[in-house]
Amino acid sequence: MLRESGKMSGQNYDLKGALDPNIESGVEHGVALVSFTRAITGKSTAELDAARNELLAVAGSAAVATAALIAANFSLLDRLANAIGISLDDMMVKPSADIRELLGINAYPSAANTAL
Amino acid sequence: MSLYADSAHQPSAAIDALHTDELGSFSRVGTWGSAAQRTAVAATTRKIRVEAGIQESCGDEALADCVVLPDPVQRLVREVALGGIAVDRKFCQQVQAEGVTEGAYVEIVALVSRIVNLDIFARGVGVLPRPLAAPADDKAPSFERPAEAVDEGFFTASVPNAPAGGELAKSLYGAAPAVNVLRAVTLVPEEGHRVVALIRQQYFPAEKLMAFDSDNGHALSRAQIELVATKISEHNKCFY
Repeated sequence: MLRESGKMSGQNYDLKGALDPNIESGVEHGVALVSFTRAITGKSTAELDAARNELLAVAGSAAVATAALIAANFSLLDRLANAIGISLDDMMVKPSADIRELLGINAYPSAANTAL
Repeated sequence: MSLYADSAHQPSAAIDALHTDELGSFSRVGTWGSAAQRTAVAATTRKIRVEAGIQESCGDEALADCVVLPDPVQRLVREVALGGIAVDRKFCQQVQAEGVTEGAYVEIVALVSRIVNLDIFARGVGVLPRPLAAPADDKAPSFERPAEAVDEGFFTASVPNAPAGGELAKSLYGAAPAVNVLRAVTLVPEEGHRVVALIRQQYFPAEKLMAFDSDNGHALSRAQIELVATKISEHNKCFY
């Protein structure tokens, strides 16, 4: 989905930057967003507060609320998919093959729910 | 009054209203669980996450004891509360073999996932989880299983897209075919409706999921949204 959104805007994002805040993805405020997202699922409230303040400084309060909302939304979706054994939609299997390989997604336990 | 009035980072009025309704849903009777059982599931989810150090307490853990949840239910709640990463078909079958019906399994997964949704958002905007209400009624669940539900290859049955899913599919998904995850908990249509409504407002409506130039009024671009989504899904080791 990240790569496809980049195609729409003529951008070629570094997908590894979505996982590692030390890698610049090319997405605007990407480092601040990934740091915030990592902190929201972590144990340190101090780290979360710092990451929230960093995101607030570069992108504003509405961006903080939206990032929290998307993090919440995918925390919901991931649990549903993992616990109900949802397979990847057929239309997404082939287009995502190289990304899954690059990011190590094929090694996730829930990969067993999709016939590849 | 806003549900998140104490936060410096306010969601839209629509999200505020949606989350207010969501919060109230846990303390009401469901399809397979009583109000007390659903409240206990939500409170137990919080208790597990607080004990794991990944969530702050708002002091409502005592509601976890408003009814005794059987051991297989406790195990299911724990697994899903922490991401559902280790859940596989064997686990699902084992929980059901120990007495949790298929419908109850689906309702519990949905309840846990929905309370985590609210709590992650609250944590993100810098406030404590919103307190759960005490069970609102003592009505009996309906235990109704939709006749349209079939085995679509998931761990549990679901309502397929129209035409196979009939009028129920249309009421759940609208005109456009729903992707797999939108059908996940539709064995319990009430939960299915709630999940579809959440995804529609928090992310994108089904008909816009693959339209990467679409705008749902978010304060982030589609690329920024997908960046956050990718990072969360890595944390939950979610292949989907």
